[in-house]
Amino acid sequence: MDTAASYNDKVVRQFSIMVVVWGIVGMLVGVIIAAQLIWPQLNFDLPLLTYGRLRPLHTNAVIFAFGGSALFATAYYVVQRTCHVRLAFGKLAAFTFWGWQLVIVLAAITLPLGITQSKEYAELEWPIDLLITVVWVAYAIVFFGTIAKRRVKHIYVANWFYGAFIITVAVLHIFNNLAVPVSLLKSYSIYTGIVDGMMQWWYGHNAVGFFLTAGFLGMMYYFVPKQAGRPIYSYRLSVVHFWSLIAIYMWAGPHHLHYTSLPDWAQTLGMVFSIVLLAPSWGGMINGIMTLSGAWHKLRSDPILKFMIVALSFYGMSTFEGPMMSIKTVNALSHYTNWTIGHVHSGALGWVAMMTVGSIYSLLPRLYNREAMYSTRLIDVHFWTSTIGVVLYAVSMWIAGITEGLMWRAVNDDGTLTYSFVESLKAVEPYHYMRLLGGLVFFSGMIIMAYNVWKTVSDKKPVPVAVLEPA
Amino acid sequence: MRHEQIEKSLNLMIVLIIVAISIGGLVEIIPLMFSSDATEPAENIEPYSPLRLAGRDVYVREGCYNCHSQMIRPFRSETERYGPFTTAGETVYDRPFQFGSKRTGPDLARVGGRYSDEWQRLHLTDPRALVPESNMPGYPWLLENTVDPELVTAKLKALQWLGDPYTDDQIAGAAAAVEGRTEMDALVAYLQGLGTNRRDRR
Amino acid sequence: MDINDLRGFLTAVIFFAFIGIWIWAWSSRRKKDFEASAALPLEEDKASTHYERENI
Repeated sequence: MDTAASYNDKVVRQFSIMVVVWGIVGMLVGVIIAAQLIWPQLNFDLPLLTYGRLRPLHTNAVIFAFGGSALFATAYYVVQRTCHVRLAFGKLAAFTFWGWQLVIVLAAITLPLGITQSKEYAELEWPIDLLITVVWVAYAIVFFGTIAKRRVKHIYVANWFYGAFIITVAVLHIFNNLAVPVSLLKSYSIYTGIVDGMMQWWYGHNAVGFFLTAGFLGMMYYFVPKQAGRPIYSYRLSVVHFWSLIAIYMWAGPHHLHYTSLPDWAQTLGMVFSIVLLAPSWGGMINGIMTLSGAWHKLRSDPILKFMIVALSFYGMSTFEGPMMSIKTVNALSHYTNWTIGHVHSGALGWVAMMTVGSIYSLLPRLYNREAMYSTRLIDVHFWTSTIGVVLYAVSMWIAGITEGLMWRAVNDDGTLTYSFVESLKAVEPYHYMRLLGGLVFFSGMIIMAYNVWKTVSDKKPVPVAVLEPA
Repeated sequence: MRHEQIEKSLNLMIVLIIVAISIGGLVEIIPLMFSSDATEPAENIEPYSPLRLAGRDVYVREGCYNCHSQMIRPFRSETERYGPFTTAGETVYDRPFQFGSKRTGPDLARVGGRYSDEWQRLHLTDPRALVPESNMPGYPWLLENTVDPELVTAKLKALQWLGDPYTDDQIAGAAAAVEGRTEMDALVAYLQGLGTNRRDRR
Repeated sequence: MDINDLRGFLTAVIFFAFIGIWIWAWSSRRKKDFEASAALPLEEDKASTHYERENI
């Protein structure tokens, strides 16, 4: 077949397979560090294996390797299918795959070596940051270049979300990582103290808002209608909630700095916009869930749809919890505790991972010229391990977080503190076990997925898919 | 004509996205950069000495911020436990900031002088020898690694270039100040100086 | 003009932009375009099943 007449699915296949690989790696590191919090002996007194170095490896692996690969794969797939055109700049697209994998491998080497900027989710040192910038610009050129040569009039809303995610992550990455190199492996931020903190959480919160939300909403806006076989419930709502979401998210960063030495006006702005953010977030959730209404009967037979509906439910839950936690009085209790960890994981496992997994299960058969995944039964098993795992995780961290928060602030009648710090650590130990169990259960689902994916793709030779003529 | 329109709407989309995402950051960050509260050092706050700077970079490298905050909030329960709340002026030489976001261990913003050097050394080597309930990793390798004097000099130069008020004499003397010192010495020096600018600390 | 005037002005701008988007999205002229857009992800499945059916 003439290559211009077929879709470029090779790069989509490559990224899709790496989603599974990096998902397993990232979550395995998560399980290890959860165990280290219970049994500190597992740090083995070895620099490469200490918690402080592995935790950034975990966060970077799940966000940028697992989540990033899923975003690359689906953005490249969705933009081709909804623009009725082959991906622009094939070689550049191939470069984004190998470049991104190189970034991940460099992260996996440098973080355990302690080469870090210590800014959360922006730990990677300046040479890797430069490489990320180059790969990201290439990503933008491929993505927007494909939209530019589209053969239909409209730009589908999923592409708006992917587009906003690509642009914003570039802006965030560049400004937060501005630093002066001291050596190849060490640099100092150009910002200091509270300005640096504000910059970091402007970045950090929007890494959540754009990398883990806008991008995955793009995924949702394509794969949920696709899997349900119905168009999106309200296209109008998607327009309004898109612009509200991207504009409001950018203000919410200061809620990570409540009651710190950040000026009050900035904290208040952060709080107000975080609360307002509930509306556009729920706009997306409602749009997704209502798309499924009328297709409820499909939930019985289609575990992929179950992944998506539970992902949307967790999205709604954690975007309610987030605004609540950004109210200063609630934050006074929740900040610095495991509650935050629980919140992040109900978003990251419940929303991001489950939407990714559902989309990959929906996508892979199409990429490998099959009717369906190797085993629908195993998808169902994976669905239940994921759901049980994330519930165990979130519940344990809620209890742990509230316990810590209350113990830290407890005072006796004479004004002295009731508990020493280490007593609060002992008090949450049972929940550390429960969290580890939840993580293990979720992780086991990824192993099942890997087996299912292997059986799906190993004996199939993909064939090029012809570009569909616009309707 | 038709193609032009298509191009136009894509460009328009990109421009509008950039406008929409820019406002929040500009409003929140730019005024902060020009606020003297956020950028002027508090009383008794000076740039880190060469040894403490080396220690701070060990703290960063080992990822201590993953479990320890350095930001005491203005609540009685926190000032009672950790000391006076942290002010912006106390962090103006922190590149990057080390506020942290999770307390698996206690806040360290004013840990300086709370324990002896020897306690810190033992605790960092084998935490459970001193605090049996602790789940902190041990860092015995810090006792063996030595601080690289040349690198410390380069660091001071970079910080001076960024505007931190190091004198040329301080930079000239930096290598000698850290010569032969272990990373443990440096980290303990860093920790022992944390928050000691305030006399009314606990 | 001090910074608070600027903040007030900005609040008004954002508010009207929001109302504007709302009006734009709900105007009846958009309806046809939106329906065409919303159909985009489903076209492929409607058009054909290009998958080989040997493996089911």
